[in-house]
Amino acid sequence: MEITTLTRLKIELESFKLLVTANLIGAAMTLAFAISFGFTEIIPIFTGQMITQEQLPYLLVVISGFATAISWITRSAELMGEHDDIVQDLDVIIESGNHDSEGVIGIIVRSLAFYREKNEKINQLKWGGRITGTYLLITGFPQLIAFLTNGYSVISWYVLAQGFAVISSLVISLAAWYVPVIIKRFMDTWDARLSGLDDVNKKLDTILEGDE
Amino acid sequence: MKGKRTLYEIYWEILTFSRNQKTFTNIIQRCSLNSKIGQEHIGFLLEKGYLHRFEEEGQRYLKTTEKAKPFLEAFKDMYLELFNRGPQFKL
Repeated sequence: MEITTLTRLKIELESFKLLVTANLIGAAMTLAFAISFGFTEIIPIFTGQMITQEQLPYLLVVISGFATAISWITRSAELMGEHDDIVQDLDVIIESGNHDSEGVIGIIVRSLAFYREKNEKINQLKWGGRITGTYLLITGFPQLIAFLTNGYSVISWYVLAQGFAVISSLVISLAAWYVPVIIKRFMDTWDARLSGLDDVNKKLDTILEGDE
Repeated sequence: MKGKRTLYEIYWEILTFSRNQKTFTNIIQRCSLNSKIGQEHIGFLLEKGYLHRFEEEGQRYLKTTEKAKPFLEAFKDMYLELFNRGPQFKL
């Protein structure tokens, strides 16, 4: 039974790690797009020139992209750090071959404690996905229009790179919209376990009371 | 251990860790408890007879007793069942 539970734990913990990694990549891409999309437009600001009205939207895009990405990276990294400790301890149990129930229960208890403490932060990651999805759509759509209406007659590396950037932006935008769906599935699984704990706690309380 | 734990999870940790004799300091460090809270929990478990305090070579130790077995067994069974019965999360 413990081996089945171990496998299950391993899959769940690794899946969550992948999810947080995807979030980190999303945040990094947002940062990259914020730089590539708006930075060239606001360079004059850094050379001491006045901001013109046309530059203002670019400035807003860069600032909001930076803020979203940095906050998202910080949250994801914090989650990743603590979660990684649990994954590493699980790996130690698996590698040692000593699959006793105490080690396995210890990982379950730690995972529950992690979820109880971090569920607000995990929930906020959903917003990170939505905001990034919207952000990349906003920045990607004008690029797509510009790319399609430019009428490139010769396929060059420059055109391919431009096309790749536009498609990446749109694909990542759609992926970012899907991240909250996966996070919700993760939260539903652990919320169900937490609500099941109410019964467990009652039974454990009865055992403790029985020993009065 | 970091994170929010229930009272029973803390009891389980203390009792599991103290299967082999441990000092008070060992226990509170391992279970991430402060001295005051640690004293409360350990006091409760001593009162229940789940922990036994004894002295050896001038050092005071705590050890889990046989009386704690039903609690530990029930905890194990219920947590395994809780984890295994629901839907699994995977990508």
